[in-house]
Amino acid sequence: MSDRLKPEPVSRRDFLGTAGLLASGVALLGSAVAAMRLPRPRALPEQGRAFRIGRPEEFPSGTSEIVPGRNVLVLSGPKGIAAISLVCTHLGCIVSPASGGFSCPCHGSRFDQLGGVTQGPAPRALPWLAVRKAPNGMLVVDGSQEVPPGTFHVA
Amino acid sequence: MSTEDDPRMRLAEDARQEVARIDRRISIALLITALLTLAGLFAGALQENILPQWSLVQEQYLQLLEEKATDDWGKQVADRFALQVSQVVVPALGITDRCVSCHNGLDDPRMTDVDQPHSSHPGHYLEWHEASRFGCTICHRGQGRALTFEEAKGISDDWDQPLLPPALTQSGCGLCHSADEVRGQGGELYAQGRDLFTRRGCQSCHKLAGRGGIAGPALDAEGSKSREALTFANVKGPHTLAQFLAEHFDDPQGVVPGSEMKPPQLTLHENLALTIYMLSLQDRSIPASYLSPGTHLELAEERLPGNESGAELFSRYCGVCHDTGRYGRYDDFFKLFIPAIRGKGLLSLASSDYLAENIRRGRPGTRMPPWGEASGGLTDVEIARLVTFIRSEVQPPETAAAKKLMERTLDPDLTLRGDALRGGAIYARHCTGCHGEEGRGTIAPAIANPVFQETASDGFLYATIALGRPDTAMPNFLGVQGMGLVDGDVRDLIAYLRSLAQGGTL
Repeated sequence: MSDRLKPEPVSRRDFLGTAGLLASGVALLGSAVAAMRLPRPRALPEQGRAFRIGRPEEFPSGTSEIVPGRNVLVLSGPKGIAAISLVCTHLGCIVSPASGGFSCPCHGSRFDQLGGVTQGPAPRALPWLAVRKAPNGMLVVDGSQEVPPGTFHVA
Repeated sequence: MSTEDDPRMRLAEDARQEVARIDRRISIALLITALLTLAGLFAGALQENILPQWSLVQEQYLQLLEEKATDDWGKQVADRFALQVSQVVVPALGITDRCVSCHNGLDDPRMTDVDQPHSSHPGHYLEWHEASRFGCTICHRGQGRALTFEEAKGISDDWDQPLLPPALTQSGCGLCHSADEVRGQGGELYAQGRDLFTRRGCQSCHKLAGRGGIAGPALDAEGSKSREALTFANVKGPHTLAQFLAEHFDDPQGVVPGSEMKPPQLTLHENLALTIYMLSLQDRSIPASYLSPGTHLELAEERLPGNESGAELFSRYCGVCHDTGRYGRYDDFFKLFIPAIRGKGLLSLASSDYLAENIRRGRPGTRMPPWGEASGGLTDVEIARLVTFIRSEVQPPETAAAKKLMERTLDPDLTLRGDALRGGAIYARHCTGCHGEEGRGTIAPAIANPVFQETASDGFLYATIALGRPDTAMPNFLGVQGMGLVDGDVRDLIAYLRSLAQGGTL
């Protein structure tokens, strides 16, 4: 009897210790992973980057319009409707319409009417943003989604 | 067996066993705490990622979107729908509303036939009020940042602005719109509440935007009152501001013991409308770009005389006490006699200046507050309109004697002399009963009142005593048709009345 039981106490102690260490290791790892999510909250109290601009018929072909407070130019042409961001790709100043396109007041970058760079120091063209139709029929510009220049939303 | 005999070895063995026991206990404790932590982490992960209410709701909504997707565009909408906390942030109004995390179909017209919280917003309100510009809590109240419906309702004690029942959301109209703009446009109840407020003379006692009486509290921020500002001991329904207001209108004294508010006697519908109007009176600051043209006009009229007529002004600011003003009356609620300010007795003697001055300065020490711009907020133009209205039905004096007396009252320089001591004796005999000792006023107005003394001319006093006030309890005292005083008696009486002013009594 003593022979049968002899290895048992040692083995149980080992099992308890190993299991405890293992479980706490997993718990620590899990906590660490969970803690790493803390700096990335689900929602920040800031305005959404997608916004409504109006009904398609408010943008007849051949017109362009700057959306107040949103730094976006809505362009309507025969191919459809597009939105161009007016934030300079150099240091983030807001460009303003000028002859032949746009000019940046900060460092003199110039862009053509479709946002292409015609004069530095801007490194790249003004970004085009996705335009979509919302379920209620309104057009929505999604500032978080860039599309290749020349992409028009077809109404 | 030699170890058994060696006491040092036995001690060492005991110590080893002791250490092993402690070791085992620590292992067990470690295992248990680690397993508990793991269970907690697992539950947390489940709760955060798989089981939150908004996530379950959005999964249901995604199914709905897929069911409703009949064309490519519909499929795209469904494909793009991401499970995430969505929110409306309006910095201009200080609003962060996550209601849209569950109310996903608010502005999707395809969702009219589905159940809450997925369904479209009823009515046409969102066509004019884009959620991204106005948020939800601006009209509905509740806790916008919450992510469960229970917390969003904000019914618990730790949120001051609980979700309003749908019937009361029209109170939001009043933040930006004037009543006339929303009448017939979905803001009927708000407009009716506003009408009731002006027609029922609430401002006889309550100030709004600096205009009104002083008997009750000002109402400029009534709709923003927090629960801490109210006593709910006598409120039968839920402990919300709206419920408090509704029950208070039905029975002011029952809800606020000792309240001096005259019960407004409202029907159920009127009660709802007035509660909505009260809820619209908030102290939150709305950017001017949100205010409608009608509201801009209304705000301007708070500073300038508006286009309200004398009759409207009378019912708005005077009606609660003076009623029509045609007859002197005893008010059952206030337990007061209220003078007939539109009675022909007064109007045939009183000049317009007398009326205007008494409105402007009120009667200190009585229920009649000063209505001039500095206190009651009425401009001189409005007071002039009121006087014109009050005089609108005045009759010319009938007899020649009355006509002569009339003329004398309008002469401000006329000074009558008499014996004040003798006048005092006459006063004690004829006047004390109603006007009180030393003119302090009981059931009839206080003669000693400083504003009365300054504005009433000697001729006015003489004519009032001589002719009495038809339609009130004041008889004519002069001559054999009256109470038998002679000219000298009246002069002595006036001398006595004038001596009361110096006493400084109110």
